[in-house]
Amino acid sequence: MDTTKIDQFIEQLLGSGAIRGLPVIEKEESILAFLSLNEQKLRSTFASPDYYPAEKWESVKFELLKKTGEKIAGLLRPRLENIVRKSIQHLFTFPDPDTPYREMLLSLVGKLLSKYQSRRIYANIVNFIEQDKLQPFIDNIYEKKRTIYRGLSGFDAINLKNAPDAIDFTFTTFMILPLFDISLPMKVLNPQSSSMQAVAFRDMEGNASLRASFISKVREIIQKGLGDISPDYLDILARTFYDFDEQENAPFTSKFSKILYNIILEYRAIKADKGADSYEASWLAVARTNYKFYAYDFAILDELYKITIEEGI
Amino acid sequence: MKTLKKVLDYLLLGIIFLSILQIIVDDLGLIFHWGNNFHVGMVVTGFAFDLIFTTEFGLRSFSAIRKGKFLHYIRYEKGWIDFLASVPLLLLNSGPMLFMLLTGGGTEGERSVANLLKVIRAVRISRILRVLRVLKIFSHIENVHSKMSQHHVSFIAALMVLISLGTYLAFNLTGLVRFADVDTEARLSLLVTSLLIVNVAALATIYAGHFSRTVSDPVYVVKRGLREKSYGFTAKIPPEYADHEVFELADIYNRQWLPFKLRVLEKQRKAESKPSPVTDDYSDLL
Repeated sequence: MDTTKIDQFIEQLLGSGAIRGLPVIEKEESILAFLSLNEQKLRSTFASPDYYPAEKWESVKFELLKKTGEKIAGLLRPRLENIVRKSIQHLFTFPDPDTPYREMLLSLVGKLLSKYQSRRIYANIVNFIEQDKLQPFIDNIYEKKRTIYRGLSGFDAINLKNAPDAIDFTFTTFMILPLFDISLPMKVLNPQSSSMQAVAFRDMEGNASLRASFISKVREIIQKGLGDISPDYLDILARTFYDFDEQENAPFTSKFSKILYNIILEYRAIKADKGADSYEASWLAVARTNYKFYAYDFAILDELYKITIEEGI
Repeated sequence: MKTLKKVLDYLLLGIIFLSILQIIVDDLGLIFHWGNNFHVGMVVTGFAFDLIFTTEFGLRSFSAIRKGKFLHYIRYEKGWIDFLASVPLLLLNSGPMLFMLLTGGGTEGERSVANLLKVIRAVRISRILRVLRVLKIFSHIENVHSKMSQHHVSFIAALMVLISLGTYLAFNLTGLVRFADVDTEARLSLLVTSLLIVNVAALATIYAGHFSRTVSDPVYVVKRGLREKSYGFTAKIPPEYADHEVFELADIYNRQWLPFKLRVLEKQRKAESKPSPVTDDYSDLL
């Protein structure tokens, strides 16, 4: 199918007054909502002689969704490339020179960008990094040398000795962690039958064996995509998604990463109302109360929350 | 229609500011003896402003009467300020002044004679009522974020201005304060006007800001958090005000309601597990 007209149609939607000024991921959400709301009208329009009279609507719809995803990925890609090539001083734990690994990481990120779910997460990550939301936390942690500093620099197999190391670690980690939020086809065991289903990691609460096979699958993908990733770093990444039962033995750096990653997952560049705490302070304050529910480390949450007060975040 | 209303409101706001400026300039003219032509100009502009505000009051009253809400307008929509800052001034001050001017009087000299003779004493004294117009500003600034804040501050400002003007008028009318000449009276009028304007400005800025920070802003955040499902911001609690009832309420919202709401939402999200609007293909990763 010649998709030129579909391409033009999506371009027109992206340029429309209602969508043009929106943040990247809201552009995609708005287009998807538009396509869904106007499906009947679009169906007849695209079946007209000016468009694709010979094509089935399902194929046209598939191309519309695909093209939308490509356009949005195209908007995010340069910003992610900028982070991987420029914001990260040294790709965490990868051998020097790390240039080939940066390209491998970008290739992995590129593949993930073609997935709707990952685009949503990367959009938040890009906003968070570009708005320099992390630096004040890391600077405070390393200047004041508190619990988090001791944990990051000495508790685990990988040591983040200084603030630039911590930033490199966090940015590199943010590029990889969205892998854990995809839905993988897994053999789901249930009393009636064992069948293959697309399963999301977060929906496997209480199913230890399925979680383990999911994590092992993701580890494979990371190793395949990044080659010489250090086993210690891979372990930290995989154990970022520890469950309640695994919390006690989870590495400190994984606990720290879990909190930061979850802050970002819900991050939208919304201006807080007058009289409200910032997004980060609000998130951390609520998480402090709900730490058992989400299996967060309270000491890390508490210290990050205190940093928001000290730094006026 | 909404745009026209907004344009009219801004226009009236501009006129109010100009009329306040006119009050000050008028007093300055009397103090520094800026000549007859200037005073004629002040009488005419004073009359024009009074006529505009009387017309505004008339139109608002007419509209309120048609809706059967005249008392509501007078009591709750600052109709009483619209009235006091227009009709009495037109009838007791600028109207008679213009009449004197048109019939051959009204210059500074004539006004001094009138003062000495105490023929129309109320004419001069009533001039001070024009200061009430500073309160009209509140009617034309719509604070969408917090109506409570706007009403609270304008109520205090009205109380302060009314008490001050009432005291000023009472001292004048009872003869406790007597003015030897127009110059002295203008100086006192200028002092009272300036004090009231500065006080109202301080209330509208410093006090309104304080009221927002300590009352309406946290209430607004808590209200949104209670009303909107996905609103996840906590209310900012300044440590120095933590024992205030509003912030105690905000603390309950921060520590109990909001975390509880977000836990429930998370459980709902997991239970519903909404399907993604797009089916992704992961074969390239596997």
